[in-house]
Amino acid sequence: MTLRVTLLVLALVVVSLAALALGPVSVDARELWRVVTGGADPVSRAIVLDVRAPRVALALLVGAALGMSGGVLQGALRNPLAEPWLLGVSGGAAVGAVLAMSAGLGDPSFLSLAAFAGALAAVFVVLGIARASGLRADPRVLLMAGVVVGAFANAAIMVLLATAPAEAARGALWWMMGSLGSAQWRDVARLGVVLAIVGPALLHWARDLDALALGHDAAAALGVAPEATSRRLYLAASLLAAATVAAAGLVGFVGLLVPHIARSLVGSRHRAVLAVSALVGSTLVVGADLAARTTRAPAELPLGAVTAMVGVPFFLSLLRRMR
Amino acid sequence: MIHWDDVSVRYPGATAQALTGVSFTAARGAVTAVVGPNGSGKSTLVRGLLRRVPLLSGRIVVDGADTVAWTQRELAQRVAVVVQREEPAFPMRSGDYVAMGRAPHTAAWGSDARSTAAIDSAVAMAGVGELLDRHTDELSGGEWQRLRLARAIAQESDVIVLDEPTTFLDIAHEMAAFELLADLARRGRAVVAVSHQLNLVSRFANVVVLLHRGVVAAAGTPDEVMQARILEEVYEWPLVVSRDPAIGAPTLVPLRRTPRPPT
Repeated sequence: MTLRVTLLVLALVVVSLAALALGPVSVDARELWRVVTGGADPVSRAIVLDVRAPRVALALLVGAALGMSGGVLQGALRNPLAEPWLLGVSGGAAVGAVLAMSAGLGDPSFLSLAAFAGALAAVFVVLGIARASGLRADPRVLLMAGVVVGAFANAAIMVLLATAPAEAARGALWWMMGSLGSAQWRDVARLGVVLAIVGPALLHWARDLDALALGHDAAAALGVAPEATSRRLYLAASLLAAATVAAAGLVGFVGLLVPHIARSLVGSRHRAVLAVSALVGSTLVVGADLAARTTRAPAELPLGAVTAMVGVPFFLSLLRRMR
Repeated sequence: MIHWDDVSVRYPGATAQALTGVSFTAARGAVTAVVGPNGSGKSTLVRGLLRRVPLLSGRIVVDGADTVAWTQRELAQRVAVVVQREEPAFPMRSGDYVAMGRAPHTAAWGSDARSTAAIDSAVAMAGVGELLDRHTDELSGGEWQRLRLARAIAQESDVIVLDEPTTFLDIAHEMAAFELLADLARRGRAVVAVSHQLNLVSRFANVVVLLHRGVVAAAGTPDEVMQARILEEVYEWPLVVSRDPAIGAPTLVPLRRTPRPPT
């Protein structure tokens, strides 16, 4: 396990360095070192520190947040298909963003805010439905409520897009595919703060997740109040996902795939699963974003499409190994 | 000891009560068995204890203290429960599963020397030593039941409650499980076992509580409760009660209603 984690950290470092070095203007290793220590050419310095570094940092945080979010939801809801996007977060965020765009408020920082607000609204609607349903004992209720809210959000998006000006509709579509193209240090700082608060909290609660993953009755027998605990975990996981949406739009498949990779590496105890999910998620998104901006340069592929393309074969190989 | 004191339960949305004024005491040093037909409210007693269903009235008292005042975690420190159904969503190492029994006692990031000792002794008692490195999805139904028992023993509570501990067990493992429960009782714990195995219960239990439609129909020693007249009425099936040839415990023989076809 220690060896595997070391290799993962190494992979993340290598991919991140490659992402800093590669692009329309390549920066070789020696120059990269001079950027850090000083004495580099001002152009390469600007490219690395102002353009690529915030993008790599944001990719890292987005991957870590989505990986942890998916790990929490799969454990708490006892479902290998659970992921933030399945639970209404993405739908709510998209409605928020599309509403803002079709109202002509496409300014990036307002868009972030609208998406974040939409995601949180969806989360509270899901929690409200689950609470009102009366079927408190069943972890499937949250899942079903999430799917229903997501479906409703999709319908709302279609109506909004059908009536929106063409330019706004196109912008909204691009946003929904996820991109780190406009990454700035300000975005890194925002997501970093959320992850710095929620991430350690989730690791602290990881043992409750172990109990919840046995089922609600068994969790209660181990001293974990199942409803309150799964609500809290759902809320925290959704907050992480909503913060990534505000930073990078909808980056699909990471939350679904990464926890499965983590479990295949370190087993099912959630503290290890969540920590390794953060590592794997970071590596995956940094790598995917590197691919998104270099394979067809100068054009950029949508990040969400790349993560899915990388993710599907991975997922299939995991399925094959499943007993 | 644990005492269900005039406990009534109605499931949300249901019209009938699942339990009505159920009272009984399970003392330390004894095995108390709760028996009764399907739907008689046996599991509801356990679910009420775990707060999976709210009590309509009454209270559940452990060593003189009303459990309602405790947090879920405090409850798990004093009462270990093996619930009827439990399955890891993602297979885990069996050793990690047993160690989860210590969660109610240790801090979120901690384990201690006492935990290690408790786990070792629980593993030895339940005889699951050779299972610890296997994954939970590789265990047979019987092995999984024994592992769950080990987890509950590792909880080191004075009261241990088991909802159908011998489901999926063959006769040898069934007997071994009840021998283990009797051993736990001898060591001073209060053991409550919900069971359908009347013939095991009559051999091992000190007290039998017979539930029928959410009400205590009979309670007492196995000899007092295991009477054909009482059981026939509750189970609505013809039966005779004979004697275990070894220890003389009452032994139930349900009878065929239809004649055996000629062979």
